[in-house]
Amino acid sequence: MKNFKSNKFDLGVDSFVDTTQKVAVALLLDISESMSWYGGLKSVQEGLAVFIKSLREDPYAAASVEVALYVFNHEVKQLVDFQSVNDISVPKLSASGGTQIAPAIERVLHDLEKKSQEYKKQKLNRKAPWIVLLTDCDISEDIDSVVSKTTSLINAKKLTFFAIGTGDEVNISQLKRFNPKSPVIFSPTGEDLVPLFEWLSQSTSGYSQSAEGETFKTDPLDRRYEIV
Amino acid sequence: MKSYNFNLAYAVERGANHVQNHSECQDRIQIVQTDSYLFMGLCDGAGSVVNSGEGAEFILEELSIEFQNNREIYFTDKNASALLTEFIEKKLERYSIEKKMEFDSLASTLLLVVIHKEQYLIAHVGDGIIIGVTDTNELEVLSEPENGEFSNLTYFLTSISYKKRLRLKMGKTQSLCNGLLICSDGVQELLFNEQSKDIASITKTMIDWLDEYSSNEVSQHLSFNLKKNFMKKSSDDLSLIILKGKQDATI
Repeated sequence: MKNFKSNKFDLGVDSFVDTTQKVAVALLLDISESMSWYGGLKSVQEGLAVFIKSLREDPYAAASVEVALYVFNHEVKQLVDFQSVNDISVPKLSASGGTQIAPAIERVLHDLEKKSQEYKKQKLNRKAPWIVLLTDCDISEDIDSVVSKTTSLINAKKLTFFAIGTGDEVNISQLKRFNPKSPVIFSPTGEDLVPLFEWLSQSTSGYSQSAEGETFKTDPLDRRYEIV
Repeated sequence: MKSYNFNLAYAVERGANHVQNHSECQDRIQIVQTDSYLFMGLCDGAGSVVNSGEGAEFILEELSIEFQNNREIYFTDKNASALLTEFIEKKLERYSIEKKMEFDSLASTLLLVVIHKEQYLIAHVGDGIIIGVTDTNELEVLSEPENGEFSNLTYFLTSISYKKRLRLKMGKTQSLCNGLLICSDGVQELLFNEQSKDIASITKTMIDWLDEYSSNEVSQHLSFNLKKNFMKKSSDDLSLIILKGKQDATI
């Protein structure tokens, strides 16, 4: 093998085209009153800060991932619009009200589609977006329509959907309907979600760099969470 | 009749993702060069399925034999696309039955360039890209990658819609003499911006190495760059074939 030191055939890495592939990640967090009963919301707040910080520390993820933060109780609000993690200030969350999940997911799906069109208009390479839903809700409302939308997108590989259930009232079987292809991550106490958010940020980083169909390695999920 | 003399080089490197997962490289290359024709095939096995590398290798082997024995049909028949589709599908089906594998597990993309006398033929399914060089030394895309709406989707030889996705194209051999590059999507994403359609100038740099250096030397340079540079930016398997030719005196 020839010695390639000071090699005129070394193309370097600066001559490649811009390879950044945008990934839109929507965090949809339950802030209904019940989330404050067992310290769940405090844990979500801490986890959120860890999620953003971890992504910032990964240069590729920081360049490619754009995160939006939605909160919902009986209504849905976008607290942070899609933006680079480098620019996000994590807002303070406070709990109140009941829970309406279906309109919240509808809103996120609508905004993700709009974001995808923006990326297209800007001629940016993009990957299928993510929704991360975290709730302690019993889900007694009619979710058929929104389930049909999420499952259709998931089956067409146009959406990744993570559902996280916390507390002892959460309806896991209803949560599973949003994405039957993936298990729900369940935190029985909902008290310490920081490791979960760390794992989520690893998964987001891995996905942002992965090729088609590629699996990527993350650390195993902490045993305090159940995969159901 | 004109004759053409081509230099070519190639390289394949297992992607960082596969190194980390201790799994094999799923890109395969097959090149057959004789006095009368040149076959260059590249298949990228689907990352999500088990036997895709084997599927890629099998179909390239079958296609190289088919084009060795029956290539006139594909260059002359109006139904060449349908014939080729049928050939590929039957071969994969038979293989999956013989080997007791799921048909879908043999999924791969296909990038094929066959040069036969004065004509070349391109067959392309899925992503990866084929780039040529014009007479004015500009890089041009001869066959684009085909992804779905998002860059993490593509089409395979086993996809239901594959018959509509096989793109067949023909052209004059002379136009390939300025240079050609065939690569899988791991390399493609660093050389070609799908949105802006920009092609990195280092594509031409690599092709032009064939003017001065032997095929073996250029293959080593390619391999060196895949390991040192491309792998820093892509975790996917990396494979490419480059070609440059010159026209001999008219007989």
